[in-house]
Amino acid sequence: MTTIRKLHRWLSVIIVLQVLVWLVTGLYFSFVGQQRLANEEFRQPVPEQPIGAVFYPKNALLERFDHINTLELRSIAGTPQYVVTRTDGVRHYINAQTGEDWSTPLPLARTLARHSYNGPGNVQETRVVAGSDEIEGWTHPGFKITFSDALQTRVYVDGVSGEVVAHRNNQWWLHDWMFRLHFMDYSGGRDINNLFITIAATLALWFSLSGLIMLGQRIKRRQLF
Amino acid sequence: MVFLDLDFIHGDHLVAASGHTVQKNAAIAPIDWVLKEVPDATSVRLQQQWVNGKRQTLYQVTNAEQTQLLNAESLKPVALNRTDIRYIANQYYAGSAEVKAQVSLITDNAPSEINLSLLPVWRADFNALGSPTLYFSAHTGELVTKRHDFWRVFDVFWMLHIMDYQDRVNVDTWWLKAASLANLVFLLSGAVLLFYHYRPRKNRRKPS
Repeated sequence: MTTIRKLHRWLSVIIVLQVLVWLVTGLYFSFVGQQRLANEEFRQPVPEQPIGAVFYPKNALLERFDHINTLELRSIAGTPQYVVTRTDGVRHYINAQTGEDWSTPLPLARTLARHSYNGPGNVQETRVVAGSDEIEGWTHPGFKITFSDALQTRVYVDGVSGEVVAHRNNQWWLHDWMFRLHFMDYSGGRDINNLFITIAATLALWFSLSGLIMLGQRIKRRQLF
Repeated sequence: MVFLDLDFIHGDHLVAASGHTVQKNAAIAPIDWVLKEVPDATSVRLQQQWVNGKRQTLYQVTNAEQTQLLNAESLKPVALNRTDIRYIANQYYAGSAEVKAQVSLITDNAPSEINLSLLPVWRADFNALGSPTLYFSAHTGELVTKRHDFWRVFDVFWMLHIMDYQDRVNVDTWWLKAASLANLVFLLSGAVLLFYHYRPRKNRRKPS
């Protein structure tokens, strides 16, 4: 047996399982579709509201913080909030009524969750959390608001910024594992440049190429079928 | 697709961080005045922008209809023209300072490489490796999108990957489903054939 054929056969044994994984997860993505994969069946943007009255002057903030890149005033469901973005990208969130560091009150978190949700359920449970296993990289204190729909939709609201961080639901775990298997990033970070997938992709590429080379040889020798 | 760093594909290296700082200045109008001008504002942002070749402090004010720039002192509207955008683009561009931007305004017929909702935008092309293009909002002069040839080729690969030859965004095309299913059948039938090929053949030579 030629070297190329040996290589081809042994590679096939090694790579076949991952190819099967790519196929099955790819089919899963294809049948589930983008919208549901993002867990955003019931997500809508939180409507923006006019800012209203502000009591804490911006000049106080310009004195308080150095290296301000931008200073924004906006409304978090009726409460005005300053967002100070420094040149190094760090953000400070300030209550524009009191001048204190922003801290999302529980009833406001519930209101924000409802504003971001257009499904059939009602708020079932509100829980104080610090980060979540379900959200890669989010470690802030915040709230988990669960809705009474068939998917048990969970809305996460950030306690530091008053922003809706993400929606999650009962299908999320499966979706996420499909991504981990497809990207071969088992940490959940969804990094497509990791070492495993680079090696697997290289092997799969060589498998296809060596197959094509052998096919070419056979066609030359007129022994295709 | 996995070999090239995704940040590189996104063109993060094309722009330099802009570290403009807003200084305290008694001449800057209080935000209350801005809210009197635009009572239904949903966002008011104090920031710096290059206008007429100078860094100026501006208010960027958004309400339900539009986003506009106001001079932070006079609260008069500021419109950015071609020269301003060219200046801003050259400031952002991290490549050689010799290469200057060529800018053009796009109000309709957006190129397929940008999101339609971003219009109107200025596109700033740089004659350099990978033909980088930076896109800036026509209303605010904000950098909204970065593109270069490596992204454009990646996008073609992505199209082939998800088999959405039209919009290059949907992963649920019938082409993809059919091809994956056929592939699955191919793989499984191969496994079955392999099994028959290598299975123990104790019945092959029957005692005669």
